[in-house]
Amino acid sequence: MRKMKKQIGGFRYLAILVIVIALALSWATPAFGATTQDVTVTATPSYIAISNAPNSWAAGVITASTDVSTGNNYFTITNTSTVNIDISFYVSANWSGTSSWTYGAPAADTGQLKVSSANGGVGGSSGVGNYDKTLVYGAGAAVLVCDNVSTATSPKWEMQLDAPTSFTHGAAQSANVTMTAVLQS
Amino acid sequence: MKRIILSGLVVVSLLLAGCVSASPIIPVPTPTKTETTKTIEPSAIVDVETKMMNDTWISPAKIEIGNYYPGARAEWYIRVHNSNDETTQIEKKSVGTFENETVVDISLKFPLADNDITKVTVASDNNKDSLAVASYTPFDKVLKISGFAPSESRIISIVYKAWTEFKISYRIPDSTIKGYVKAPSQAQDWVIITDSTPVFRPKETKEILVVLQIPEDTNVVDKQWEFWTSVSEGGQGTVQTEMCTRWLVKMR
Repeated sequence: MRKMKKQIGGFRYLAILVIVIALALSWATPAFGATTQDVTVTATPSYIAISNAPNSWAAGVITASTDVSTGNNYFTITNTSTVNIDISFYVSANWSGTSSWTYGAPAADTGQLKVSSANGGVGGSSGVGNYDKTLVYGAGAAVLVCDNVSTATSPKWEMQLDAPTSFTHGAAQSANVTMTAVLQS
Repeated sequence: MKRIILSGLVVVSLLLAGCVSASPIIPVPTPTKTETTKTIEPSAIVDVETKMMNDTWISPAKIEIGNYYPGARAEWYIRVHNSNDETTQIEKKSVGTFENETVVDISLKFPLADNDITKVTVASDNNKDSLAVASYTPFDKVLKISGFAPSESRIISIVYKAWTEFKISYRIPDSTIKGYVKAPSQAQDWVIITDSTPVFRPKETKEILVVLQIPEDTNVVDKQWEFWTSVSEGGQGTVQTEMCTRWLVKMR
């Protein structure tokens, strides 16, 4: 009988030991778990949808030191995005031709493009026909033209070529302009 | 004996408890295991996307990565919808052949619809040619045309049905959301776009996997930074559009 009591007593201590270890490990578990549950990726349904027309403009034959423009509201951006967007512009392909101009403020064989919009918002263009946003060559330096465009708005815009001050050749020139739509910042 | 066992239990308990509270366990990066949390309501997506069938769009506009650390992997699918129909393209090329040359590779500007060479017709202004389309390689949009007369020159006309190709790329942000800075210059090497030039059928929607994976030993100074992914349609005019997704990264 005494032997049996001793055995029960031993089991009791063993059981307590197991419980203590289990409790201690259960406290430690959240810290171990942090290694696999920390990185989260979240997104909510939202759509950016724009298209532009017309998709080109031919300035025609130009003379030195002149500004040639499309006329007001020449282009329309159809905007069906489900969130407010910012629209920025940049020159994505520099002047090209059999002999190329340089992109920049007017100088010999050097010309640039400007745009403006009636839908400039707070941080964008100051207004239709102002040609106040000078485009820069290269992504990452795009110029904000239409700031915080609401989902119901399809902005109009126009473009101007600031022609070179002089020409050393008559090769036709072409450049690409890209407009970027992104969630309003 | 009882005292010894009880003392032992107390010591073990204190030691184990001390492991947790006194010396915190530093999380070990696990590059292959990343938990993602999606909060998209599928029914809402279907309604919106049905209405926008005739618009080219991208979704989502913003993706947030939280508690990121070098060595971890974070990923998401960008949805892209093509509103265009199948188009008919006409390309004219000036082709000269060398002695004994009868087969020439021609690069197309647009992807051939369904990679189907029966949707291509070729004609030459040189009556010594007897042209036929032999094959098409989707990867580089190259058409192999046979039946050229050697040592001749001609203008060939290629008429074909085309689908739409998009370009998806990493993009340096023009602006950032408040509290974030532009991504470090080396971030371009950390972003993997699994298909950067996907071809779309008319009205097709595709999901493109984008992965952020920073090498484990990288020191990223900024705690909150932003990069963009850009989606633009191939073959646009001189005035082009691109649509961007903001990726906001919060470091642990």
